[in-house]
Amino acid sequence: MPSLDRKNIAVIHCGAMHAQITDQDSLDEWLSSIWEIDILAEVHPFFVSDAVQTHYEPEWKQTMTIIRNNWEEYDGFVVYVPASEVIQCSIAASFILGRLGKPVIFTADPYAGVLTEKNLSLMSNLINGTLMAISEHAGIYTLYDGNVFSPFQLQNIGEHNRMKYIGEPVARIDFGLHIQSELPGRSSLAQPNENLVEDITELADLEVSEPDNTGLRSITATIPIDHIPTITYTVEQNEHPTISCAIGDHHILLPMTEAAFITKLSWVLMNMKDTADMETILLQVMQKNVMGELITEL
Amino acid sequence: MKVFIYDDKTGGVIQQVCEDLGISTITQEMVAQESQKGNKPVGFIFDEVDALIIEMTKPTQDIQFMLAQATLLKKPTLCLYAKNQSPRELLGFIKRHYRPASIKTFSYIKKELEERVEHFLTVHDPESQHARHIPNIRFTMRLSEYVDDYVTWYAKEYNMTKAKAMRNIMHNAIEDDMYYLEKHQEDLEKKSKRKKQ
Repeated sequence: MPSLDRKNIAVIHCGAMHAQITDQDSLDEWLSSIWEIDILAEVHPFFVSDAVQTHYEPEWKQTMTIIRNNWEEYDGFVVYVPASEVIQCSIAASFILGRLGKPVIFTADPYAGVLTEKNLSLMSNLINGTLMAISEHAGIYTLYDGNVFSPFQLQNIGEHNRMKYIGEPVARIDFGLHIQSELPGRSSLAQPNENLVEDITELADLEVSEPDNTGLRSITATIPIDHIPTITYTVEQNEHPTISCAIGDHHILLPMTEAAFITKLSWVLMNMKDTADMETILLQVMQKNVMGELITEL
Repeated sequence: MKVFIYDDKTGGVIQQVCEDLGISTITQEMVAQESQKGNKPVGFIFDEVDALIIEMTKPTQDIQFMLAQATLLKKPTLCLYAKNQSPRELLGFIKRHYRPASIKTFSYIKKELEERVEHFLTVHDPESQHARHIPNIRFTMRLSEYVDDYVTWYAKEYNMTKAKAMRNIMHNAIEDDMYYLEKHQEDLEKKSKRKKQ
């Protein structure tokens, strides 16, 4: 007889999931009360933060450390973050953790914070995320509105944490999971980035200026790195998002979302801070499709 | 009434019963076809159906997922499996945890299938039966200590009031009493005929 296949899934609470979840104990209690998810998988909760707004330090970094440290123990990971941060956080994880051999699903509840006896949209979202996390498709994905996306497909459009997406979802969830793109399968060889021996890679702290009357923004890194070239950019209003970027004296067009651009730049600057010819390396790496962030290849 | 059907075993019997009763159905294939045409569901698709019928002789992750969402949303769900081919682990899991009032499991042989599906649909058609399921009849009774112990345990175990526990226990007993249901159906038909005469 076919057996009930229940995988082990880590659920990481990194902010603003439910007003009544304030620590590990309350998260344990809440998750253990959801029989519905138990039929899908054995879930193990990790509490990181109950903040409405979280940041790279310490919350996202702690989340990625949990994923890295518990990689062998779980078959997949579901991460809840505040809705306003889910895109940026999942993009950061893509660069920092690298190409993974298990599913890591980022999601959020746009109605988080509303105190209800049983937050159905939240629980339903958790079930959807778990379904993807137990699937045979590896990688980092973002769950939004019943669909599964690469984090690089999504853009915030401001109001009420609504997002728009580029292209088609990589998977659709209705009465089951339906894969719509070719996705990598599970692999024991693809582990969180091997560079993370001692610690999770940092992201450079960047300050982005307000746009001038042409829409031009400049970027300043607040880390002590020598020889950082001047970096400015505008967001082109095309059918697909495009960043028109000047690095030193060079000008390039990058087919990517603004969130992907900023996060990738943070990651690149931090990883190459001791490099002598920074301008050349920056130009090369930013134009290289490292994790699928360049939209023409979606 | 709209019913989602998951059935890769009966050769369309379940769908035929629904159509004979004039009940609208939706399957995964239909959803996929609509999606390919660009017609995507507005909102959560489980909200679009009133009930689910799942043939679960061979459990899959999709079936587990459907059960999880249907239970969460309290959608009446009929889980069918062929006699002598029970998905023991899944069944044991459903019954080991509190048995949600919305999930009914039933092992079938071919000749019973249509009747069972028809019964489920008739009971859960919100247009015809909804009013009968609203608890609006006050009834006072005394319980023995033995019965009270069970009701108290049930209420605590499944996190509900004792009144709701009593209703759940009686509702489940009715659903399991095939003799009563057959006789009751006969009585209803007789009453209906008398009214028409």
